[in-house]
Amino acid sequence: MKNQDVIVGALSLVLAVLGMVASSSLPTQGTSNVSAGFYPLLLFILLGLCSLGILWRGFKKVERNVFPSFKWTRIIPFILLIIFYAFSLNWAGFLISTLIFMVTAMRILGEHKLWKLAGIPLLSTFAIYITFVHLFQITLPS
Amino acid sequence: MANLEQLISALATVATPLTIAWIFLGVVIGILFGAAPGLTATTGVAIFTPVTFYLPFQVSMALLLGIFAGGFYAGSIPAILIKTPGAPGNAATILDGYPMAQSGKPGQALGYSVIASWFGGTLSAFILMLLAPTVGAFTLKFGPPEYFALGILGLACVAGVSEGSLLKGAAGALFGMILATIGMDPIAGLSRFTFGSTYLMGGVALIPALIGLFAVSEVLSKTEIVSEGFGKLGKVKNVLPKFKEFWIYKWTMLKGALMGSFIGALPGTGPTIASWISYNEAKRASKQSDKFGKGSEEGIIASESANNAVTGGALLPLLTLGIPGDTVTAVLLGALMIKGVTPGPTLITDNYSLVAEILWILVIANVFLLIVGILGSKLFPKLLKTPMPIMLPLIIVMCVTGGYAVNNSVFDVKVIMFLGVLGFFFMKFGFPIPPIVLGLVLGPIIEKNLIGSLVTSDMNPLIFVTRPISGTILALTVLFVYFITKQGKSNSDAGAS
Repeated sequence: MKNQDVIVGALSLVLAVLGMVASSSLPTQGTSNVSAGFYPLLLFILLGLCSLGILWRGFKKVERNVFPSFKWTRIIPFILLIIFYAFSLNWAGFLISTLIFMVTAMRILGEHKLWKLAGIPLLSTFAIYITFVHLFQITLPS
Repeated sequence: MANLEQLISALATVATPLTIAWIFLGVVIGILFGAAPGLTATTGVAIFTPVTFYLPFQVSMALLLGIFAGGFYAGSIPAILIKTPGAPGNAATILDGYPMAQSGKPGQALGYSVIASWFGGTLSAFILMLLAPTVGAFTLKFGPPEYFALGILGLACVAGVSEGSLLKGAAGALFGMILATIGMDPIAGLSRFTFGSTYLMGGVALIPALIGLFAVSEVLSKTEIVSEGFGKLGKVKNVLPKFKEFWIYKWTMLKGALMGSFIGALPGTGPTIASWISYNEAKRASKQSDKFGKGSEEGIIASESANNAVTGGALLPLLTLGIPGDTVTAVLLGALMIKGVTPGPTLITDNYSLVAEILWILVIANVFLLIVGILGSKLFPKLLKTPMPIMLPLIIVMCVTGGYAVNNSVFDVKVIMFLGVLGFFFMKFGFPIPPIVLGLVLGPIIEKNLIGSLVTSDMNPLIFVTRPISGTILALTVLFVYFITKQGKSNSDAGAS
């Protein structure tokens, strides 16, 4: 059984060490004796200490921390879809990308009825567009 | 006397049909967000903050504070009806609200909850009106060491909002602070961790980051439980209790509201701690303590009056010091900055009328909360049945629209999605989100004042403990962490039992 504390402790320790190295290489400007990396270095050192604490808990099994379960068949497509949505705004604009997103997201989340898959995205997309553009005077990607 | 005149003039400014309509809309939106399990007032305020960008100050605050007040109350609706708190601050309400609903009185439980919430929220707003000028005048004496110490005190919230592991809460707060270091450093203006991106030179934009961490991560976690229903919900009727029935609990309600106001005013506390302390105190002082946990009206009143009293209390450190006490006020800080208002002692002394307007809006929002809470209560069970396959994509679209509106930038939308996915995995691995957000908001305040203090004291760290006010604040921080951790442990025990 995988212990989540060991895994996240190790990952955050790696992040802390990488951060310490990156912070140490940041330069000092002018006469200031405090470099741009002073504060981030302090934070990464503290993060490293917390990571060691989490690792210690994991090894000592202070709490029963089982690796979390994921509903991968739903979560992965949904994550890919929202990333696609963010990138598609640039080339497809708000209306088309939102319509594609709404239909696909509702389908992934288990909606089967055709009239809902067609009607709700159309209605909601145009309602949001009109509200934001005409009521709030906010420009949306076109 | 000048303050009294400003208070009256501020009431006249906000009591316009337009502002009142926006307060009403805000309360309704807040109730929708607060009642949907998993979504909170914070999520609602974060999503709607960018919308306020082009709105006048009063209208912006009307919408956001309406969501704030409505959302805080509405968390009690799922707590009472389906044993799932809308927010952690409503968890204590489950103990008596759910058994009362199960015994055939869901309407009465909702009625006691909404009246106690209204009283707590209103009293706290008036307390804030009285205290803000005094606290504001005192904080004029603060310099960088005191602000640094206050930032640290704010981070003490980590102890209060880290459900489960304090270590993971601290690591989350540090991650948020590290995230806030991206961009130009505040002393020399050198770029840090930007990886050559011009978009990151200005740092990670606060509002898109908050939308990603709060809203998108919540939606992602809900996609996993989308098919789960809430079972059969009882019919809501007889919401308004008789005056006599309610009046016998007046002292419990007053005590809860006072406790919530003062606990909420301490950075690092928030509604969860306030409602549990109030509940425990009501149980200790009650002549019918054996009824607690079995559907006691007093239990619901104690928990909810304190929970909503935090709304006014939490605004005190935000408006007088510029330090958010909890996650909602962290988002509100971002909203105020968007409007060009910098909270802090000078805001109180130079522009008290703006502060007074905020406080009146909160009072009016609480009146609407009472009206909508009573008149709309029959619809609440239907609200909990909103199909997730429709609601979740719609929330994502709102996040995208709101996030884009901040800077008209698709890059911000990408930041929202990236941090949303990251936040989801953080949650799955037991890292609570609120500490990350507090770190993100308080990080720049802490850095600026840490470096400023060290430079003026020739790098002597003792400056923080030798100055009386900062030394006292730091000592208080240590006490808070100890107290909050101890309280959290006893709450978990109570919840488990």
